Order: sequence, then structure tokens, then C-alpha cells
Amino acid sequence: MNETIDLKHIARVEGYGRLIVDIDNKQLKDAKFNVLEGARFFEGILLGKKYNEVPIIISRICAICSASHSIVSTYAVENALSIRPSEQTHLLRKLLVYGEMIESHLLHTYYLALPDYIRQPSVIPLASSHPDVVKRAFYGHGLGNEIQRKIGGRAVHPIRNVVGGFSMFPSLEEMESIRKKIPLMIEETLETIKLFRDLPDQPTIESKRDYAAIWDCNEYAYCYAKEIAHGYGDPFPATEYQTHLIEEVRPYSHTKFSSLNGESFMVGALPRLNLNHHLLTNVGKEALELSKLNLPDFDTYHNNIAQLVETVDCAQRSIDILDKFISDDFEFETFDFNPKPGNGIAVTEAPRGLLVHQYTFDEDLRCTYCDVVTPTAYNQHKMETDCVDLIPRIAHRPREDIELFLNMLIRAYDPCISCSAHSVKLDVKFV
Amino acid sequence: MSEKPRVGIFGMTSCYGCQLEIINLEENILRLLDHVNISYWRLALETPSDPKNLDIAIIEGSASNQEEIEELREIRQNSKIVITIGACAALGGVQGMRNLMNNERVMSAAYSNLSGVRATEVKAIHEVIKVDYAVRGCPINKEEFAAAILHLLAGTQPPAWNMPVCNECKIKGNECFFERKKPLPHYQSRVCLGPISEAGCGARCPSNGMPCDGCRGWTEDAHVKQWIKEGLERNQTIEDLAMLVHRYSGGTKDSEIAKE
Repeated sequence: MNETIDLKHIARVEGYGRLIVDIDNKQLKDAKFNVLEGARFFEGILLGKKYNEVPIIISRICAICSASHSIVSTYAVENALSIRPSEQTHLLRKLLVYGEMIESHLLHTYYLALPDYIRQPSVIPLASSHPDVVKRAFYGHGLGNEIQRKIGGRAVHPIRNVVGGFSMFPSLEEMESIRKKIPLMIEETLETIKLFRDLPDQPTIESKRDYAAIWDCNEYAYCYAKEIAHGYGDPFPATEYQTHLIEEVRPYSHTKFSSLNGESFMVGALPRLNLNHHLLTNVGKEALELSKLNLPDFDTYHNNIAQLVETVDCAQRSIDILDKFISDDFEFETFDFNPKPGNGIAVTEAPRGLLVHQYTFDEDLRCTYCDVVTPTAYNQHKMETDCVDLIPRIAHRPREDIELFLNMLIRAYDPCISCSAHSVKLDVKFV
Repeated sequence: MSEKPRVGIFGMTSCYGCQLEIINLEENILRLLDHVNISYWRLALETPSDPKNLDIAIIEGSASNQEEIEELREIRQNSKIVITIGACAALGGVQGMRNLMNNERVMSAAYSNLSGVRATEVKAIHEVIKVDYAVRGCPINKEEFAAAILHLLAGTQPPAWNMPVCNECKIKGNECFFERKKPLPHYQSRVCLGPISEAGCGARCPSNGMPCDGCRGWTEDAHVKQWIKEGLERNQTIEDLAMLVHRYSGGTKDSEIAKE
């Protein structure tokens, strides 16, 4: 029996994506994930722009990862122009990213993923059926935004993170006020981990074991590192990303496919946790234990619960940085620099995975080259190859279950399709 | 009792940041839901009911390809009131800069093969269909959005500011970028768009240490040519000033000024 399942416009993801799956005799014949989002040509728009305009414009690639785009672009520009930001700038950027991780992970787990797990069309009916859960969602998600507002100046598209440092700083009172609110959020997120862990009748897969994430041997790297780790031996320098993470055109599709050593690979919370779990904070380790994840874990659906573990870890890390700022002398730094032309690469983790920016600036410090590769661009290929394992497991079920589990699979990646369409080099070649 | 007004939320080419700001209303969304029925919203709802017979359509993003232009026409036909949210919808957004640049060079930098790229000139929504009200900003301010919806539900006209960002900046007591004695640090642009940009944001960027970059578009009676003169006196090139003044507004007819 031959059957085609066409999820034309996947809801509850950021952007416009489509999955087409052909099933033949309960086996996968073909799976194609298409990005249909309008293209925005960021690599071209930046040509000729001055270096200090780059982070402001490029953060508009994506709202939900805007802090990551802003931060990795400032690092890439700084690397290109030989600018060294201060230690405090690194810490403020980390804090901004922790706020983004909390906000984005909780948006995804509560509002976009959870409704599937309790078989509801959206989070709205949960307000009456699970009022306590929805209350936790508002509190935690709101707090992630508050961290971004107090540190970055705005929840979406931060203003204060600029080339070289920060244009403005939070007051001591503001830092104390966020600090006080975090412990309750940690407690509530631990409750939600139990909720996700104990949900009955959920799909599982044993997907391919290839993954990549930024790597720093001294800490769980959420924000900028110099190396990229993967499942095939030693980490490689971030500057070699184009040699290892190959983008390839396939004639049957209009998107590029990323591969690592010839295979599809995953980026995101689960890969990061697989690599870094021994570097979690103590509270993060408690969350991991509660989640009952058995690492390394290669079930894509577990990316949701991995995000919740990271949320707890990022919350604890925010407390640690805020405590340091509150007790030490926090400096309202003024800074300036002497930019020199050059090329710079920086890699970071957006909530949904590995994010790369690269720029070249000429003598006039104008951008002459830009390359941005987003996590969803890396994950697209893996979304398709996961279907090879998933389809035989679920092909006997009613069609609505198959559709639900496929939707849940795509959503588990927490895809940011607007992000990928706006920057991946779509090679739109129709045969 | 009459039914609650039906609202649809639509996304065109954008970063989804303005829809995210709606989600960022947190528990206030539930209060909004006491008054309206959200019948279409891809970002948050599975199996959307059909996007027809809408009382209010809310549109984020610019029109950047033929499919979007067609969808916009359908939305207009199916809706009593159309409002837009954000700079992409009101002005074209940052992607609109490609209208003002060498388009082929811009597109080839992002795409290795242009033969199948389905992209038309970037257009603000009001360049395609009639728009009844625009909530401005990149991104929108969620409170301003909620207030606009409440106005529409009450049958009153949401506010227009008709004054420049400078007015709000003065109220905030910020130091003026144009009057600063010390040299500006390198991370800032040399010029501020406050004098010609529509207020309503509370001078968001200047209050965070950065000059205004005009995401709400020009205010009524903006003296754009005078502003360009000021910029030239500060050793800026006309090309740079044209790009800055249209950082968000390349998708409108106003951008003809830059082409001059």
C-alpha cells in the first residue's frame, strides 16, 4: 500500500515549513522537508554596511534567537576587527543568552510542544484544563524575557549588546529584582520536567547518532566557544566549520543539505546535553536526574525534556553571574577601540543549536562578505533521515496518529524556519 | 448575546518577532481572549479554523513574493478591519533595503543559483492592500499592540503620535546625540534619526545608549532633507545616509527619496 502524507504548513513552529512523506508497504520511501518561508537575502543586504551596523541588522534574521544572533555577530565582528571585549562583557553576554535560552525553551516546551503531548490544538484550552501548568509557563517565560530586557534593553532584538561591549548596564536594583525571582522558576521547571517525563503513550525513535555543538572543555558552552565537538572524535576549530559541516545541493530539493562525515546530524539541546552533561551545575544535574534521561540519548523527541534540563541549568548560571555582579563591584564600563580590517568567524549555540556567523571587512571597515548558517539549516537533513526510523514504528497506526507523530518530530527540533530561510543558501533549482 | 469578534493573525516575510511580542503578553493574552476569538494563528494553533469572516486581521511581515501578494488579497476580502504589526508590514523592514541596492548583487550573495528564487520587490502591506491601522516598531511594543486592539473593540480610533522621537527623548532626559560634546564611541552611528522618526516607543534606543534608527518610520512633516544636510555636515556619505534613513523603510514609496 502506497501512501503520501503531506503536512502542508506545519503549525506551532516559527516560520513556514512543509513535510512530505511517502510510505510504501509500511516502510519509508521518501521524506522531504521544504522551507517555504519568504527569502530575505541578509548576506546581500549587509554588503557595504559599516561594521557597527551589522549586529543591529543581522539580529532581525530571527526574533526568538535574536540575542544569539546579536551576540555571535558582535563576536564575529570583533574577531574580524581585532577587538577584545572585557571579561565583564563576556559575562553579560552569557547572562543575556541564559535569558534567551530560558525564554525560548519554555516558549517551545509549554506553548508549542506540550499541546501535542496532551492532545490539544494549542496551549489555550490548557488554561482551563491545566491552569497550574499555564501559570508556570507565564512565570518562567516572562522571567526569561525580563532577563533579556534588563540586560539587553529589549526582549526581542536586544539594543545594548554592541561591537566591543554594552551601550548601557542594568542597575543594581534591577539585577537584585531578577535574582529574587529565579528560584521559584527553577522549582516550577522541575515540576514540569516530571510532567513531561510521565506523559503516557508518546512516540519514540532511535535516531542516527550524529550530532554537533560548540565545545569548551571547561564549561557547558551555551554562548561562544572556539571549537565544535561532534560524535566522530576530536573537536575541530570553529574556523574550520566549512570544511567539516558540508552543505550540499541535491537535485530533488530546493534546500541545501548539511552533513558531517557524509551523514546527517542534529544540533540543539539534546546534543549539547549529550556532550556536556558532566559540566552541568549541581541544580542542572538534579534536573537531569529527575528527567530520567539516560545519556547519551538519541531520541529526537527527548529534545523537549533536554530543553527543560537546560532551562534549570541556565537559571542557576544566571543566579551565579548575578550574585557575582551584585557582590563584586559591577563596573559601568566605557570603552572604545581601534578597528582593523579583516575576516572573523564566531560560533555559538542558539536555543535550537549551532549558529555560525562569518564576516569580512575592507579598509573602510565595510562588509564585503557574510556567511550565516543557522541551526535549522543544519537540522533539516536530519529531520528527513529520522523518518527512516520513525515510519516503520508507526506505519500500522491510524493516519491521524502518523500525522501527529510526524508533526511532533518536526516540532521537537524546535525549528526556526524563518531563520533558516533568511540565511541558508537556498539553491532553488527545480528539475 | 453576540459572538466574540473573530481575529486572525498572519505572518508574511519577517522574523516573527511581532507575533512573539503578542505571546510575550503572557497572562494578558488570556484577558484579551475574554474579548476576542483567535480563529487563525499558525504560530500558536494547530488545525486553524478557516481564516474567513474575520472581524480583525493582524498581519506581520512584508510582501516579498507572489504567493504572499495573493494571500494578502484574500485576507483583505475576508476581513472587516486589517491592521499591520511591525516595521516589515508598515515599511518593508530591513529586507526592504534590497530594493534600494543592486538587487541582483544582493540576491547572488545569498543564493548561488537565482534561477528559481521566488522573490518580488519587497513591499509594505499598504502598498498591496488597504490597511486600516499600523502598530509600528521593530519589534512592536506589546502594550501598544494590546491598547490598539482594545481601541478597535471599543470602536475608537487607536492613537497616532504625530511627533518625533526627540520629544520623548527630552522627556526621558537623555543626552542628545547631536549635541554631545565628547566624540561618539565607535559602536554608535554618527547620526540619530530621532528628529524625523515617529514617536511612541518612549525613545527606546536612545534610552538604551544607542541612537534612534527610525524603525517606526517618518513622522508627519519630517524634515528629511534638512536631516540629510545635518548628516553630510557630520562627514557622512549620501549613500550611507540614504541606507540609514531607509534601514526599515525600503518597501514604501517614500524610498524614492533615497533613489534621488
